[in-house]
Amino acid sequence: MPKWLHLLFLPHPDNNHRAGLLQPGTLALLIAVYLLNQSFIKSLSVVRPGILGYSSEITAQKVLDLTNSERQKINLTPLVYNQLLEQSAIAKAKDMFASNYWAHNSPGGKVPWDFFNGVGYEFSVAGENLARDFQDTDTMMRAWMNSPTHRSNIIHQKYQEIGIGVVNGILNGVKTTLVVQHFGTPLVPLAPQEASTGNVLSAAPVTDLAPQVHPLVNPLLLTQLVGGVLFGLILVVLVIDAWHTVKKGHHRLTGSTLGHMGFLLIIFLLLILTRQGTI
Amino acid sequence: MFKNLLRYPWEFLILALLLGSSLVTYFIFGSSPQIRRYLICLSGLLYWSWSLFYHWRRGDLNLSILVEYLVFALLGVVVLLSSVL
Repeated sequence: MPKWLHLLFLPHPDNNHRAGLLQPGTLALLIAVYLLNQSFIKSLSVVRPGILGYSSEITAQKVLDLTNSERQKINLTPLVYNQLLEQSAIAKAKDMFASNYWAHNSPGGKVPWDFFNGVGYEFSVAGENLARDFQDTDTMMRAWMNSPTHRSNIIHQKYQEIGIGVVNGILNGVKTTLVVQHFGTPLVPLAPQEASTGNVLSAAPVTDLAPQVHPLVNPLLLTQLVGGVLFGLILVVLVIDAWHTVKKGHHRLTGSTLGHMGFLLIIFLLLILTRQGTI
Repeated sequence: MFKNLLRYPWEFLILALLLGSSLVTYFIFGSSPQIRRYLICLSGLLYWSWSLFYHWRRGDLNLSILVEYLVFALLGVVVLLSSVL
């Protein structure tokens, strides 16, 4: 084995009996290289928008079905699909892509109710749920149901109607799918029969603002891969270092190898189990 | 390595509790990226604080050890933060 490799991975008198990879200077260098790599990934989204992205199988119909299924679990009437609310939800998603933002209120000062009013939907109560970067509808629905504010919209007993926008486009240079749920109760209430039967119309297909090409690289997977390899390598060197130290009986003034291993293991787990999508 | 575990069982138990609770809290309350970011930074800070306590108890607390833990904590925080949108 070349000496530099030995010094990098194994304890030796020349590296003060501590593998070079575990020395603070090398670790600081690794942080710098990692940050440089992340900057490169970010710059890709500016130079070649659409290379990075999340491919999604979400459909408005499935979002509608799961939303009503959650309501029926607690004996609430299913929401009636409303084409005006669908238009306002799609308009909201298109506005986020056009103005490059991700929030309930736009940088230009638009609030969700502006989109309801924009399509002529007159409401007494209304609400909005947003989601992005999810691959499938079930995971997205679980994330919404785990969030008290999103959950309260889904199971709000005052809402009678819903419209859903599922729009593909490029946000901050990254190809993604935005999902917008617009809930409302019309100012003129629905006839009781219409409301109770849950007259559900078909939801709109996915709207594509970007060409229908699958993105080459999923940024979350890339980050997980690079980080996973880095932590895996450091963990292996820590184990070798610990074994070597026990075998040779060296006493060194360094941090606790067991402590480092525990910390990196937790970080490794968090990295691998990081959830897709944002709500 | 395991000698230290037997000599300082309470210190390592505290570390296990800190790291374990970080993991659990992350998955229970980490529904928003903002909360996830705070939890990640807090985990790094807790690990570094634990190192102060552990080496103070051992009587070998010095600058090089503090720097070593700081770099380990920073590495973990930087990599995890970049995976959170």
